[in-house]
Amino acid sequence: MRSIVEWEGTPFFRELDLRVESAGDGHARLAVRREAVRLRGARDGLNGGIVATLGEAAMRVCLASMLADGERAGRTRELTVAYLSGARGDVTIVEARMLRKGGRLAVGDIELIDAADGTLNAKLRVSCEVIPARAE
Amino acid sequence: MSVPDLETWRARWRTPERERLGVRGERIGDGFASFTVDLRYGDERDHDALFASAAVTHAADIAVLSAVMGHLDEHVQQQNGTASMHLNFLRPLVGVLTVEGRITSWGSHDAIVEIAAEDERGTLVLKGLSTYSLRPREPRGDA
Repeated sequence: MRSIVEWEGTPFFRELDLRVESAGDGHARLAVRREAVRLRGARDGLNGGIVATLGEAAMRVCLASMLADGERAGRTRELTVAYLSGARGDVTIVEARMLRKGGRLAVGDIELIDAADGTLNAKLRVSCEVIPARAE
Repeated sequence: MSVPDLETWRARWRTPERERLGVRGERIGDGFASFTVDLRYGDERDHDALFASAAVTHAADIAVLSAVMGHLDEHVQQQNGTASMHLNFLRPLVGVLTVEGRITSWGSHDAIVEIAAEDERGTLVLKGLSTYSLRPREPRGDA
């Protein structure tokens, strides 16, 4: 399993100074500072496309925590996001939990939450491909 | 409706952050808009699927916004933000993609915008749908 330091060292995570607060057992919690995200959307909240990818990032960390030996995460196949309120907090938490990890597909539930007051900014569902271990 | 001047609209989206993602405005018209996304970074970003996803998803979001801008009558309604987005990723995101938003339905409180991304050969790599929220323009009070 990729370590937190390894995740935080990848280009997308570094671009937004995205931090992994916790990951394991089908759960992941990330944090992003508003000042680190210069792409903005309606009323100066985090841009909607970036919100969607933050959710996808949390899902990938979450999935990585559940892969069996030899299994790999494949491509994201589907993403659905409902924008409920502008993500304008100083820090936004991105929390993912696995709904079901199968042999070929994993489906996760993700929320973006204002760290200061718990306001739910967005709700996502992300499906990722799972690549099975190669048969011996 | 008032379709923005093309070069003015392109200039709006020309920022260092979008240059980093490889996103550029291409076309805008009445109810549609497109962006190009050049994913040939030539460095470690080429190997980060999330970086490509961020570029394409961001382009999809602003294609939706721009499609709405190109159809909106600002005397009657105003923009109120993306309400939802659903994307199906059909093929790997590589090379130079064109991401288009095109209005399929327009109402008093929302617009439905279809999203499609194609590669240089015209192969569909992403398909989606977005709901964009609208608000009636509030009447201005007399001085």
